[in-house]
Amino acid sequence: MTEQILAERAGLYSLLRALYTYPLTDKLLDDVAGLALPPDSPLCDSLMQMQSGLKNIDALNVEMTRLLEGPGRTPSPPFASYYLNNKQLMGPCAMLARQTYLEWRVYPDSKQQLPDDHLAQEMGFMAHLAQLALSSETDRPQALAASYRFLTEQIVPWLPHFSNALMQASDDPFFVGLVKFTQTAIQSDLDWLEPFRTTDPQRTPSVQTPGV
Amino acid sequence: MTKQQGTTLTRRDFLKVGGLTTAGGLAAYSVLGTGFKKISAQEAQSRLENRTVYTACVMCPAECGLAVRVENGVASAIYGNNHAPLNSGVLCGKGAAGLQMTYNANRVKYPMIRVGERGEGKFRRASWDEAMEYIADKLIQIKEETGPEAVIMDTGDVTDRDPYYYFARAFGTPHTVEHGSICDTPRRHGPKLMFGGKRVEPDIMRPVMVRQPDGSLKNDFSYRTRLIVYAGWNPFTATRIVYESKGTVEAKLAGARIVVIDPALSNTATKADQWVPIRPGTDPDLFAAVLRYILENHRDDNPFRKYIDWSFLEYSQGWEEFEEDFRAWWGQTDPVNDLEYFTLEWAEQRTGIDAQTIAELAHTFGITKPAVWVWGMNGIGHHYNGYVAAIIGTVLNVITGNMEVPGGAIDTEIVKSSKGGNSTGGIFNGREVTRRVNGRDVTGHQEQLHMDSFGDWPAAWDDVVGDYPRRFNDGVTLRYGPFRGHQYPIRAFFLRTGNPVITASNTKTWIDALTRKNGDDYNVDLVVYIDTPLLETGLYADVVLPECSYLERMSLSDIYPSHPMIFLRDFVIEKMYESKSQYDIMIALARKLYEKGDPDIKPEDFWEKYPTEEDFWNEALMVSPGRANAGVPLPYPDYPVNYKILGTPDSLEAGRVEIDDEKKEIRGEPVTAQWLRDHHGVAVWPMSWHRFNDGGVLQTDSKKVEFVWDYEVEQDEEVQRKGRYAKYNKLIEEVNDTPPSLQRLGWEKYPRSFYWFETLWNPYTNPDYVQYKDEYPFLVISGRIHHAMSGTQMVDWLGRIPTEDLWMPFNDERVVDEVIVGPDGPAPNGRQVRVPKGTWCIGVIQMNASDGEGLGLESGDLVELESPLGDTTRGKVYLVETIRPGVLRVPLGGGGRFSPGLGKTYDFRDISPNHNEIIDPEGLSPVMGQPAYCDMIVKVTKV
Repeated sequence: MTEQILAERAGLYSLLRALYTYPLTDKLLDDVAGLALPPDSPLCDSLMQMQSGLKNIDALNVEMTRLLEGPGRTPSPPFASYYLNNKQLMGPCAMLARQTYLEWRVYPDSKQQLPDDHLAQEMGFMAHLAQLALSSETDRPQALAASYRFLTEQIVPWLPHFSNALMQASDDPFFVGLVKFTQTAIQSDLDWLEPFRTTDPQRTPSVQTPGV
Repeated sequence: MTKQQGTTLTRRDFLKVGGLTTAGGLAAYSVLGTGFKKISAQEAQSRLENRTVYTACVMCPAECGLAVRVENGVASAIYGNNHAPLNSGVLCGKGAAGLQMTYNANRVKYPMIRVGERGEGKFRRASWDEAMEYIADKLIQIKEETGPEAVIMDTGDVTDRDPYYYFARAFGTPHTVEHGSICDTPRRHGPKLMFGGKRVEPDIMRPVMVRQPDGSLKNDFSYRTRLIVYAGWNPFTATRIVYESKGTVEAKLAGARIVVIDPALSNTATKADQWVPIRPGTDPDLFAAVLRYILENHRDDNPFRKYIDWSFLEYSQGWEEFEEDFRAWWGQTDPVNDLEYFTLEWAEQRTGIDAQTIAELAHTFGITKPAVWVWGMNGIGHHYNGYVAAIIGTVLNVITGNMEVPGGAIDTEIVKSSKGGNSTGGIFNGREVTRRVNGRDVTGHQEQLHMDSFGDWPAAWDDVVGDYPRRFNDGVTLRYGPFRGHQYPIRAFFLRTGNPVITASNTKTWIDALTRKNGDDYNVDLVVYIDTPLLETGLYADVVLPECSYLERMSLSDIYPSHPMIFLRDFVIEKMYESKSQYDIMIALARKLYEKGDPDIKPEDFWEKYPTEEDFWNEALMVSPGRANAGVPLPYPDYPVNYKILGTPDSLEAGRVEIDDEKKEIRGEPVTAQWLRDHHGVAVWPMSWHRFNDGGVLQTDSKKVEFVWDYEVEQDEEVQRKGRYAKYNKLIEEVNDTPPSLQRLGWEKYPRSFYWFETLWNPYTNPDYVQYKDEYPFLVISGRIHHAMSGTQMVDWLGRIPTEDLWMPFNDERVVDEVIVGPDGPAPNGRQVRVPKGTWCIGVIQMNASDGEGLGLESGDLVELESPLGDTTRGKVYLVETIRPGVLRVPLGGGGRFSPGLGKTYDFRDISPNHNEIIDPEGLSPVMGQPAYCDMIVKVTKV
């Protein structure tokens, strides 16, 4: 059962990374359309909302551009620093994210240089840790502990602000559903990870209070 | 985020959140990947390392040397570079705020293609390949249908532009231009005519590195200047000559007297011993009166009246004719005031400065040595007749013996290090091309297709961006050269790091020109915007390309020191998002055009010649420093005098040189980017003075200071026309066709020597405008704040800090509907942000308190300015004692900003003035076409 859960987690974060990476693709949207959940799953409502918003790929990418990409002012920039560092990018949380990636000997593999605290990057790192936990019994405890820590230190402090900003800026069911799906999934994972967290005196959380 | 109430998730529960009913469940989505790659311990360590990178700033035109701290690959702090003499380790607030430019959420991140109408700012993201396809297809079509001369490459305000020039010229257009065209060209005119230079500045850059008698080089920190006169020049704002702020203070402490001539008490004036609040547009009048006073009152035999140092005759020519032409005005009467030109009384009436003050100023300048008379951007550069002041100002420095003496005046253009060389693509302008003109084939050179040089503005060596709207609308008809009569439209406009909609002549005319249609199609087929922030002009683009910020690209800084030096602009951090450097964009465009079969783009000119970015900039450094071994003390005593110096400082010091007697060059080892990197980003060559001796650094035809600009000499047994205006007059004479701008003055061609004409829209000096005096009682002038014109408005710190009484925290409290550019254009997005009152600076209209009282105004009142042409702009007034009555000062680029990506400045656009909304679109100064920003009168109405 645990193996299955670990596999589910890895898939979940890979899916989330893909959903916050521009551009959305037809294949990805087909994957979303094909995802089905038990009716009592806390993710059900948000998934259905996303699925109800599936439409022409160009229209979704235009909306994604407007919400997340720019140019000019976007209503919901997907960077932790924007919310935690008084709207300036590459703040301490970006540096901390980078440091964490490098401590785990991984780095974003992309032609475009996104700040390390972009939501897609952070989801991707969670996917990496989830894969590691799945594939290596030796690394599993540390990977799961690191996952808990990364969620609480790097993602949870700003995700609600990002989600609220997006929901205020858009009533598109796909994107509104996406942020709700993301929040619920992360909360669920946090609850599941809690028994695996460790208190490491050398890793003092340095989370800023939100600046917005 | 809190745990959902009433639930405790178990391992089994987690399954409920998974997709059990799908094949493989959520687990199957692992195939989408993590987006991460494994790296070695070594790579991880190198990315974690902290280091300092030396580079050059772009937050204002000074381009100071920087030392940027990088931690874990992130630029964390910006400091001044101690090894860069221009700023000597000092860094201003603008420079320190650079991180807010680079790490700004609103920067252009990806290529974008327009999806709405121009101006709506609606775009969709595109790949680089798609954007290049779009541009290349249009360029090829334009070349085939019209010719490449229908394309303009405007590289705006940031000077590391060579790759764009190179590309454009290789493509086949001669139209490469930059911000200088709309900056202050009248101001540069005097030094250009007389020295082949551009910028006369005081000798107050310290330290300067000086050759000692024992052959060593030592830094000299001493200030020798006894008097600096700044006329319409405010170096204590965001300007190019950064050392003038520190240097002015230091010089004053060392005993110099500082005089500032300015309608407003500028930042610089607050440091002065004397502030002369002159009427706008009358600087030439003051200068002329000072020159007349000096000529009339100089006495060779009286040390208290010995103003003129006749040694200038040794290195000049034409003075007698110039003086004669100047004196020819003395007997004439000015129709505005019935007074004799250039007398003290005449100047008093025109400038509003009493005759005694003018006399004393002239005497003080004449008798104090060394001294320097400096003029600037706002005061002379932005006036229709600024050329006259620039010429007289140059003359004043020359005849008083202050040019090139320690503590005197330096033309920094002709002593700074050269750069560029072949990297600017100038060689392509010499290509032979053929056009069909009036039914016959005509062959000439690519440069002879230039719409200004061979069109309406033959003497506009900085091109005429201010006149582009007319050319976009009406096309081009060449007047001169072999292609006379050739007509072509302007079909493509590339704009890089500029914002002409806000800063280049009248805003409305620019918008009209960019949006005007012929049926369903835009007149200008293609508009490409290349920059880091999205400024107003970008809203009218068809394609937006993300250029890296200055911390992500390489180039060479454009600086105006007292002696040759050059700074490297280096890669500090990795390029962010999908932004590219200028070099990358040049190569990408070239490759795409080559793929599509463009006949002029060749691999051997682009990626084969410059395989790496560093190769390109090394080419640009091949000509450095490129100045004559001239002056006292001689920079290199062991090398021939007046030979051109090339190569690194250390190779020149060590004698690792080759002397070429045929070319008269001293060639050391070439300067390279790596050499600069190894030397704290800086190369510095020795300072000297008296560099006009025996020609030295002078760039005139005669290698002398020229007071006559169209003359004949016998050379190689034939009579040749020489002088800066000679070339243009020959063009005019060949076809007996006077450019329209000169016709407006009643001239047939460019004058040989001294000339005089009045400015526009000044009822005190030009009889054409006396009729407007009562109804439009305010003269409007421009001012500068600490933003780099219009391009840094999204930087938070600079938005909060007041300056110059022009950028003030006059915002009202607003709960701002955040406006985004959505599917229907700019619209509120439902999100609201509270901006407390008095927490954000906006551009304001500076007005004298007595004027405000007379109009029943208080500081903070919203007013409307209206010109006689019916143009208006609105803003809040700031009432002060420190501006001349009857004058309003408005910051350029400081208000009315309508690009949503500018942050809060955008939110207060309705209560901040756009200076360019009220300038005369026809007010292009006659020689260089510079928009006359400071020549306008208005009436004021409370809103």
